[in-house]
Amino acid sequence: MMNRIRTYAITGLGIGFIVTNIMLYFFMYGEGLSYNGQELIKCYILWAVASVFFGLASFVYDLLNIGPVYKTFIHFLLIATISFMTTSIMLKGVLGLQVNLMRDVFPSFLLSFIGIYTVLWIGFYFIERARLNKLNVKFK
Amino acid sequence: MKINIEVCLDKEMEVLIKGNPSSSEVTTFINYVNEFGLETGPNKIILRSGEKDFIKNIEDIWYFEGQGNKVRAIIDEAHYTCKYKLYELESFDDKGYVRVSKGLIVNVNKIDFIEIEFSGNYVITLKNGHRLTLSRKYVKAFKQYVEEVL
Repeated sequence: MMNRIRTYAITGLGIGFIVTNIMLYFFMYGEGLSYNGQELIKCYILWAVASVFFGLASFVYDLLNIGPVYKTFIHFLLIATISFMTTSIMLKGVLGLQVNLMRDVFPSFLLSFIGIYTVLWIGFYFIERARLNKLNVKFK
Repeated sequence: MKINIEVCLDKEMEVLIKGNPSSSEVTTFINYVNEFGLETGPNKIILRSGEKDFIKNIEDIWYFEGQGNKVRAIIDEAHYTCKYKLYELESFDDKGYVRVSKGLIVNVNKIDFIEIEFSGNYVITLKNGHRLTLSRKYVKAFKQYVEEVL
């Protein structure tokens, strides 16, 4: 069990490194934020911690005995919550910005996540369908 | 004991016992037939339907289904009771049988195709049109088995 927790956490960190860069890039160029050196390091650490939780959230797929759609929905809720909390800490705590999180950040966050998960699910569905079609040839 | 032999050259051998099933004579004879079936035919299995025992070819069975303590074998539209437990039937993997869910072991040679629904559920359709659910827990092992065996 501990091994699996460690594996998920490390995988989360690895994927999180990419997510961190994308998020910081998005905030810098998309939202026009600027960071000084210290803030940038804090942001990296903050997203690294969040990444561990992202990884652990994947446990949903292993632990729960429910359908894949429900698992994905729970995963979505967990990831969106962790991301929203991390963004909130980053904007208010690290960068000291006065933003209304619920009004300015939450709607775009929610839409982005719904978009990402929809694309991922459709992608998974068509990839798996193609794999099964290949397998089906063996039954003929 | 009378022995009647009905000549059916194109049919599988069938043994019909008429008598009192609780008598030692019938029980002994059933045991003898069972042993005969198992010893002389490694690809044979004894299945029960009602009060009758049948010796069937293993590869004719579409799937085994666990129902409580009982295991049913399905051949075409007929249902038989099988004396084996599901976990024992997993040893038929060399005969094309693979577990697809907690209560089902399927003959891969009877599968028409497998598909995934948009909800993420996997469904196996047999050549007779029966649809069975492939549990996600067994998806990986099932795919691996099909890749190796077929």
